[in-house]
Amino acid sequence: MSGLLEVINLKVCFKTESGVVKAVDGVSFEVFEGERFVLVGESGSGKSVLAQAILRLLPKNAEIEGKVIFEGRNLLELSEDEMRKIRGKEIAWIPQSQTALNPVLTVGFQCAEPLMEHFGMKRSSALAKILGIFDFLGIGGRAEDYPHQFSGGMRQRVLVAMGISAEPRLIIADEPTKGLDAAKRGQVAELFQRVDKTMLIITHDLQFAESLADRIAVMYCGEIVEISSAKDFFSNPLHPYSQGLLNSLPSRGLKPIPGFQPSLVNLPKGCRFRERCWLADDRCKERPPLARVGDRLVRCWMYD
Amino acid sequence: MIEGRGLRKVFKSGIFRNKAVVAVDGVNVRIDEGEAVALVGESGSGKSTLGRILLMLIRPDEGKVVFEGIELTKLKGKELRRLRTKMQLIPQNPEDALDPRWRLYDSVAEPLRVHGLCDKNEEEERVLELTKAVGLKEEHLGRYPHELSGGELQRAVIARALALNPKFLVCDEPTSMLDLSTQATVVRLLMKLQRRMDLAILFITHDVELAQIVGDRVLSMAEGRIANSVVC
Repeated sequence: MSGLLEVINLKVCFKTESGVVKAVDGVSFEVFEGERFVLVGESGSGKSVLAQAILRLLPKNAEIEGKVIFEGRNLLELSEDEMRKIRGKEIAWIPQSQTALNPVLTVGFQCAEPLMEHFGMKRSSALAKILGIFDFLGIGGRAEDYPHQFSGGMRQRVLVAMGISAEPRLIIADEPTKGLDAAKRGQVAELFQRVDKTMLIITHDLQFAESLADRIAVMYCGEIVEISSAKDFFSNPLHPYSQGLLNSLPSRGLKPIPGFQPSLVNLPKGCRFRERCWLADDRCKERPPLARVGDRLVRCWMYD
Repeated sequence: MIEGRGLRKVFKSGIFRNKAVVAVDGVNVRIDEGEAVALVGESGSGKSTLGRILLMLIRPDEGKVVFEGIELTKLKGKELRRLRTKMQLIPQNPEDALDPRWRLYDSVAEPLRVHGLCDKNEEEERVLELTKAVGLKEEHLGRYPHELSGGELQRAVIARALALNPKFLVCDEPTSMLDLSTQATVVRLLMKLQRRMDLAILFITHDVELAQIVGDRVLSMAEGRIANSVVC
């Protein structure tokens, strides 16, 4: 297995009135060909910003450092024209479902657009291909409908259809289960399993992550604190934050993590989880490195 | 303490009012004093409508709601308003539940002012007491909703709901917009307050596991009917 996407020491800052917000602070990871890599984190952990930085979808006031290597090229150095050829064709973006579709175009046409744009296909042949994908995803016969005629779960299918239509090498999905109830979340997981592609999935939904991830990375305050195989992560989480997160699941006792997540403008020095951690000691006043434990990575002095 | 008998609600829409959705279809439900009842069901199963009927925020088409022996469905504006102090709602999305142009202090104090229950000093004392009870700091009171996180906002909404010492609380998916660890914090807080104040709670959620933790009893709802009732 080789890394299809490699993110190296990525940093994203926003300058705001109240100070510099370090949304992503030195993140490195690889996504291997054929795997489903799931990035979990709570709001404000920087996971969505990270995904948008990879595809260069961030607003201009974002300052980005580091490297994003995709098929041997650093995406951060490409021109906007070259980038446009990659978006949708090589790397597809599946956004959050609520507002992503154009309300005045039929869903079939919206999904056919990437094909017409990237491959110069005719409208009729692009639509024919889309109809096949719609059948595959279980929304056959709805191509002439408009987004408002679809429920939340159905709209997610449309977005997936749009994402896979151009047969990209990599799919990045941003919170695909947001706003859906438990039964629909299960359907989305099933849908993603049926699509056999390399995926980077961003979510705060641990149950969803468990149902489809090969590997899991946990983000907290702009840093990756743990990268593990999904099996290891759910049976034996290493980082105290990972443990706290899993224990706050209703099925695992609904135990809250003490304290609050610190503001990204004013982060504690050293380990960022230190103030909420029940194991913290003096060593934690220094920033722990991402240490290797077997084939897992964890940012905690306990494992150094 | 609160009881709904034979509740039914049909929503009509369309130009000629010719489309009808039966949201609640012949439901009997009873919640005793100090009891936490969880109500689970998929979206569209009628659980929110049932919650709002029990609070008399929606009038049922058929059936009656009885609260502490008083038949609410027979009451009119003023009499009903007096009883409203005893029953409160915690809605799903705390960002929509608070006025974006008010500081948190005013939002928490509003129920006290509306019902004219206390003077300025008492009001301040009561607001501070509530703030402490839900784990917010005094400095939060001077802020606007957009300056707070979802978990902090939901705490403020809980503080406001408790301001009038209610007896019955409907929590309509109070944590579905919150992060996982924040959900655990907020739910634990609600459970603690429920016991301390001996509240009757109807906790609406679509998460079965959460329902089993919160509820003394779990009711499940499908297509407007109570399909199942389990004692935990």
